[in-house]
Order: sequence, then structure tokens, then C-alpha cells
Amino acid sequence: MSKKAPINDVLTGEHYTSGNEAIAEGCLAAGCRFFGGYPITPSSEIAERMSQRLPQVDGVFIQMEDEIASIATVLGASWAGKKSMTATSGPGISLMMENIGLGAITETPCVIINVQRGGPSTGLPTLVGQGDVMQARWGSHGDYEIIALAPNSVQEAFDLSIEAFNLAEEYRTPVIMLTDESICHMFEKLVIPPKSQIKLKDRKKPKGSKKNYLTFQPDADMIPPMAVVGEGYNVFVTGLTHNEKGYPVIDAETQEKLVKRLCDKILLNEEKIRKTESHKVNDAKILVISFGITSRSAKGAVDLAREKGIKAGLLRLITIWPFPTKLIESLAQKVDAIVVAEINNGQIIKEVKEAVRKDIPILLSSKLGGSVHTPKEILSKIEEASKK
Amino acid sequence: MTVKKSISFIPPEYEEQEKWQLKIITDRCKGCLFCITFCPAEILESSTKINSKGYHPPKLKEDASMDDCAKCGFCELICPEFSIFLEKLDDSGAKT
Amino acid sequence: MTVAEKKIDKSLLEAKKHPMDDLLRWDRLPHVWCSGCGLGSVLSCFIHAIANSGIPKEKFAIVSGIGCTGRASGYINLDVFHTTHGRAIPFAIGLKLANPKLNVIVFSGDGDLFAIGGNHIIHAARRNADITVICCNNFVYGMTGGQLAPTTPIDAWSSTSPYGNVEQSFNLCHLVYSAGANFVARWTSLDARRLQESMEQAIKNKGFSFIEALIPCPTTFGRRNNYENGLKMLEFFRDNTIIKNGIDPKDAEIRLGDKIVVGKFIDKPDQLTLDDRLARITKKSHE
Repeated sequence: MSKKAPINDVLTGEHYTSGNEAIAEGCLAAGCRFFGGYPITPSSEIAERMSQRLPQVDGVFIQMEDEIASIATVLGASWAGKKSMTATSGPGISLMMENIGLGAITETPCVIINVQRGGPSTGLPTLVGQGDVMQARWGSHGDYEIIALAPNSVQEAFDLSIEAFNLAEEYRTPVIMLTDESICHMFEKLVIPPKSQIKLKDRKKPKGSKKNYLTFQPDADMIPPMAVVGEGYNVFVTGLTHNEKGYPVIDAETQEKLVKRLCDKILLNEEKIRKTESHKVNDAKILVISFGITSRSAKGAVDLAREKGIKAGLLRLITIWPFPTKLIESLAQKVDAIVVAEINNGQIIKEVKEAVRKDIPILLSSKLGGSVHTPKEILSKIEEASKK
Repeated sequence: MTVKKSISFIPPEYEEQEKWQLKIITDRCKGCLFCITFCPAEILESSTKINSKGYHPPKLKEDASMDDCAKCGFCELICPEFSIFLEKLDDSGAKT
Repeated sequence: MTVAEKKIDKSLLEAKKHPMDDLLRWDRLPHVWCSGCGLGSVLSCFIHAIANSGIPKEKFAIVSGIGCTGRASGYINLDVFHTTHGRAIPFAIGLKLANPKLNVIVFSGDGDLFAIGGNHIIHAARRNADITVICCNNFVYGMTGGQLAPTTPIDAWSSTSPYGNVEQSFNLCHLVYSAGANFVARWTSLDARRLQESMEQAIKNKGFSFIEALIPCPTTFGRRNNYENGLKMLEFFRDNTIIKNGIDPKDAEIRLGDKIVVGKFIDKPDQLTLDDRLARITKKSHE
């Protein structure tokens, strides 16, 4: 993409670009008009592109003094009515965790891009990793649910950015995009459709009088309509456990009611939110489960296995959280073994093991960060599984 | 919002035109003594009554009346509880 | 319960509603603060300032952090946000940048704004973000029981410095002014009228405005440091406060037990704010 982009929010057409730039354009196409961030490799390009493009579409870009300030700014901007986002990597997500919890309990829609790199700590700043999967789900303290999406191509990075904003607005929750350094730094073809073909969702607006508006009164779908600040609704937003008015009530009954609803609004909608892609799964005997960049090698491995006569199939997770437990449980009934391929020391595999009821071998094909699996590496695990 | 402050010396011919009353939401009071101590006209003291939380709300001193009140509104401003306040009544004694 | 008294009943007339109740969440009163706490007085000055400012109520957004002062937003009947510890300022900046028509005020405590939140306040002042920050300085972490704060005077007792504080304390006004604030004032909660006036001015000012309000915390600080109740500390303020308007805040010292310098120190109106510059950028990017 040229540096002098035209002043449109949707750059319809065919492009040859990187994952980071695709994410930036995807978020703009989704209606994002606020970015508060802090530079960190490998996500800085998203910030740089947003700093250029957001003023062109009358949005606001600000680089804050640290990641904690970034996420706080994003939450504030969301309450002021703007679709807002930030982009960072593992160390930044660690810093943001407290405020992600605040976003969860105050049901603030926002999108957080995590361009995963090798960890822990400073780790491998410029190389791929997939070790932040569990952190996305369990990183903040207390009970809450999160939605996390993982693209595996530059095109999908664009598409899922729009999906992320739609989910954030619909379910009033922070949404984490678990992409990785490989996807974000690779260059591929990106096709951006015309604006009219892009379906966007907006947060539910309150109906009825402002006087009777209760900041957190849910509708039947467990999601409260969200008022915008500055219109006289007198919202009361607190991180303390609160009742429907938003007033802090420090007792067990309110906690049960609130936390249960916050978790259920996502868990009970898991099938609606879930997105997966299957490749040769129908008659598979060895199921390979993967996501992100690894799934590309896994697909190659499945094809190689088929050539060798092993009936392998790939389930690619696009939604990582809420984890598609029921789907994996039902698929596991039909296979003899499962291979999980991920660039970490075994994170998705834990969820898979919990989901699978049948007593079948579940093997891990892991690399710990810095390089992507080759199809042959995953193939060797498939072969090992087929021998069991 | 009209200014509550008025001059403390009111010429006799104007005395009847402005009537003010100190009011209190007794159960909000926490007996901090701020209004009593810092009233410039020194017309308040603690009462022996207790409110529902067990605090002694303020009352006018025995030898003081609303005529002695400076109508400065300082007690209202400094009261941490939004308990005591100064209200202007019209001549008939009804609230304006 | 009656006591033998003269015929005239000197009780004040009982009222059901306070004139400021429309701006308050009166169904949550009485508030959680202790008897003798200065926070109620500062909140009262603040509510009066909002009422007098002439700005439509719906334009206000109040953001607070964690601590006793942070609870203040919960009693205000406007759009209010009670956010995480130390992060009220970036939250407020997000609100303001996303909707520049809002009048965003941060109402938080000395520990919340200057310890954990220290980084954010200096950058907000540097950027000249168009927000007002009201810092209620009670010299301690009150809500959690009286631990050491960056404003605790040297040698003072706190629950985490039982042998006396070994650290120098910040001069908050000096810190914020050096970072770039263009309105800086300090008053005690006893200087209620001047505090209200400064608040009205700060609310209406463009740019980063900072007000430090010195308040008693009788329960966790005062009574362990020779001020047995809130009244005693206010009396200390009354007898030892010196007003020096217009001086450089670095010369405005606070020496508890000795003297306190208060005043409207800095008032530099009409500097370009963060929003102004961002608006220019937006315009530039369209060319």
C-alpha cells in the first residue's frame, strides 16, 4: 500500500500488503475511530498506519505513555461513543490486564490486537510465538469471559478485524485478536470489498426516558443497552461489583447475579460466536487442531498424510475463546487420535483434553517460539498418532 | 443561581423583605462540628438530641436567632454531609 | 427525648431535600466518609462550582480512581466513572479526545494520582490535555488504613512507616507545574469559598488545570499525627495557612505543624490544548 492513501475509510480494491496493515485497514473499515496505543514490536506498524489514516477519516490517534494508559484511553473513548482499539504484543497485554478486567465488568466494547511473539517476558521481540492463548482468557483476575479470534492470512486479518468490532459491539465486551508476528509481517494479497458489502454492528442504544435509564439493566439477551456519555443519561460506571443502576453493592448476591450474567452472555452464545474451518474432517481418523500461522503448516501436513494413506483432517480454530468445546467433543467421537499443533508449550491442548470424553491419544506438536512448524514436523506427529 | 450571601447589616426598613431559614437534614449529620466552629456569627452549637446514627446535630444557640445569622451560607458550603443549608423564604414564610 | 430548656425551640427546621440534591445521587447519602473528613467539604465546593458554572449538566463527565476520594464520583448525579487505581487520567483523556465537547473532570486522591498514577499526570500536563484534575490531598492512603503516600510528611507516622516516614514528600503543585500545567491552585478544605471559585475557573478553563485541596483524614492520619479529629486539622489550617497568589509553586511549601502556603499559583490561559492540535492535524491530513 502506498504511503499516500486516499481519504476513504474503506480502501476498496486489491492490495499487496502485510498483516499489520490489513488489520489497520480492517479496523477502519469496521468503523474504528479511536486508537490509543504504545509501540511494541511486532505491532508498531498498526499504530503507525493508524496514526496516518485516522486523522484522514476524522478519527483520533494518540500514542500514550505506556500500555496501561493506552487501554484506559480506549475504554474512555468507547464510553464517549467511539469504536476504539489498541494494538500490542505479549508484554503489553500483561500490562493491560487490570484494565481488560475493568472493560469486562463495565461491559465496554473495544478491540485489542495481540501480535504474539516469543515469550515469556521480553522473549523474542521479532519472532513468532503463540504463547498468549491462555493469557487472553485467564490473564485478568476474577471470573469473566473473553472473545478471542485468530486469523491465519492477511485477508483473514482484515476480515476478522471487522468481525472483532462487530462482536465487541454486540456482546459489549473487550475482544482480543490473537494474531502472531508471522501473519502480521508477511505480505500477501488483500481484497477489500466495497463499503456497501461490509456488514457492521453497533452497540444497542437505550430506549425510553433518560430518567429511567439504568446503566446496567440487561435485556432478555443478557446485554444492557449502552448509553453514550454527554447526552444526559447520567451513567454510573464502576469497576466495583454493581447492581443494575451501576451502584456498587458489595455483597454475595449481587456478585452472583453480575458475574453469572457476564460469563453467560458469552458462554451461552458460544455456538453463535464460534468460527472454525474444517479441511478433510468428514472421514478423518486423525484430527489435527491448530490455529494462526501453524494451521497453514498443519494443512500441508494433513495433505501429506493423506498421500501416505493416513486419513487426517484439520480443524482450524478461528474463534479461540469461547473455546469450541462441544464441537471438539463431538468430532473426537469419530476419530482415533488428535494432534494439536501450536507454537507454545501446550496451551490449546489443555482445552482439547478437557473437551474430549473418549479415551484417545492426544499428542502435542509444539515449538516454543521463533519459528513456524514445517508440514513435515506435524506430519511426523500424525504418523506417531496413527501408530498408537 | 442567585447569590445567597447578603449583607449582615440590614437597615431596619428592609428587615421585613428578606427572610432566611437555616434548615437541616438531621439524619445526614455526622457531628463533625465544622458549621458550629466556623460560623462567622457564632450562632450555632451542638444540640443534646441525637439523630438515627447517634450524632448530635447543630442547633441555634439559646441567645441567637435567624436575625443574628449573617446569611453567608458558609455552613452550607463547608458541611461535608449536605445536611445543613440556608434557604430563602419570602415574606409570607413560604419558600420562594 | 427532651431536655429541660427555654420555651423557644432552637432546633433548625427539618428538611427532606437539600438544594444540591439534583446534582447528587441523594439515594446513596449519607456517604461512606468519616465524621470530620474533608472530602465532603471539597465535594460540596465542587457541586456548588458545577451548579454555578453555567455549563449544561450533561456535558460533564467525572472520572475518579480508587480510594476514599475516588468514591466521590459515586455521589454525583452526572456521567461518572469509577475506574482502576491510578488510571483515571488516561480514561479521562480517552473520553475527552473521543468527544471534545465534554467537560471532563478527574476527581481523585493524592496516592491515586501521584503514586501509581504519577506517570499519567505528568504526561497529561505535558500534553496540555483539556481536563481538570482535582486532587484531594490527605497525606496518606486513607481507604486502605493509613499507609504511606508520596505526600506523607517526613517523620510522620503511617501504618507502613511506624518508626516515622523516611522519605521526602512531593510538592504536588510544583510537580504538575514543571510538567506543563497552565492552571495550578492549592487551597485547604477550610478555604471553601476560594476553593469553589478556583474550581469554577478551572472547570471553565481550557487546558490542563490542577487544583490541590488539602483535607483532614482524622481516622487514619490525623489522630495518629497530633490532629485528634477533623476539626483540629481545620483549626491548624485556619491558624497557619498563608495565602500567596501568583508565586512559583516550588516556593509553596507544606509543613504540617508549621505553616502551609496556599493560593492560585499559576493561571496562564489560552494555551493550545491537545484537542486543538489534534484538530489541526486532522485538517492537515485532509490536504
